[in-house]
Amino acid sequence: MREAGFEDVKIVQKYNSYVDVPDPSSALKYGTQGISFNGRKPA
Amino acid sequence: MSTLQAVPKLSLEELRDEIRKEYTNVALDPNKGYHFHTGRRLADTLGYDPALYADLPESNIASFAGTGNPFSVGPINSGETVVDVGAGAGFDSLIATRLVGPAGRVIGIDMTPEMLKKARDGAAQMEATNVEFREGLAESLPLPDDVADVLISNGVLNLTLDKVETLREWFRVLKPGGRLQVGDILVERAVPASALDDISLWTG
Repeated sequence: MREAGFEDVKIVQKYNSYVDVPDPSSALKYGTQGISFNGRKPA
Repeated sequence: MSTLQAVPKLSLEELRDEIRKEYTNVALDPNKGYHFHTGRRLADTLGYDPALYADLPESNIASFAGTGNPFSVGPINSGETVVDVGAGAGFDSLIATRLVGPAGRVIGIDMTPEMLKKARDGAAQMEATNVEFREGLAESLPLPDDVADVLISNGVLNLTLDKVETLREWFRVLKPGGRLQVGDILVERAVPASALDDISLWTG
């Protein structure tokens, strides 16, 4: 993120959104979670 | 935040073709059953306020396949220009049209024709005139520099091969001081090299 120029980057939320999916993959085995994050282009 | 640069043996075009196939299916048959949840159940899991999508057409809600909630990590204000990268069936773009209001503008970008059609049909059904959907790639946006107050995206960055270059492209289209509000995925354990060519892990 910082390499691309963004600042103030932070993960705000995580979700266990892959639990009980209809067609499970190995994604859960690797600890895959949904996230929401934000950041800013410097002014 | 650092970004893992996973490099599979798949070519960029092969990867894009597989992603298009998967998301064409999500557009045409959202309840088929995927490696991820879709629709209202997913929106609920990701903490969307139901009031945000109360007036969206059901078909745009049904094909929602995001991984986070861009509206939970910052505001979208009246009059702003919002770019939605990988807009899919338009769920987030159509929500944003209500938040920016008539003085604002939303531009949704997607590479899957069936998703674009669904998003445009939804906008027409809502009579939303402050949104347009353009065909394009997350890594090469059909937009000028410094156009967006806010760039939102939901479950797209993880589908790109070169995350840093993609983020540089998103940086390019944001105005100075512009905000990035993104949903994506986090993988907490190392993915073995042998799994990088498992296309289901990329598309799902």
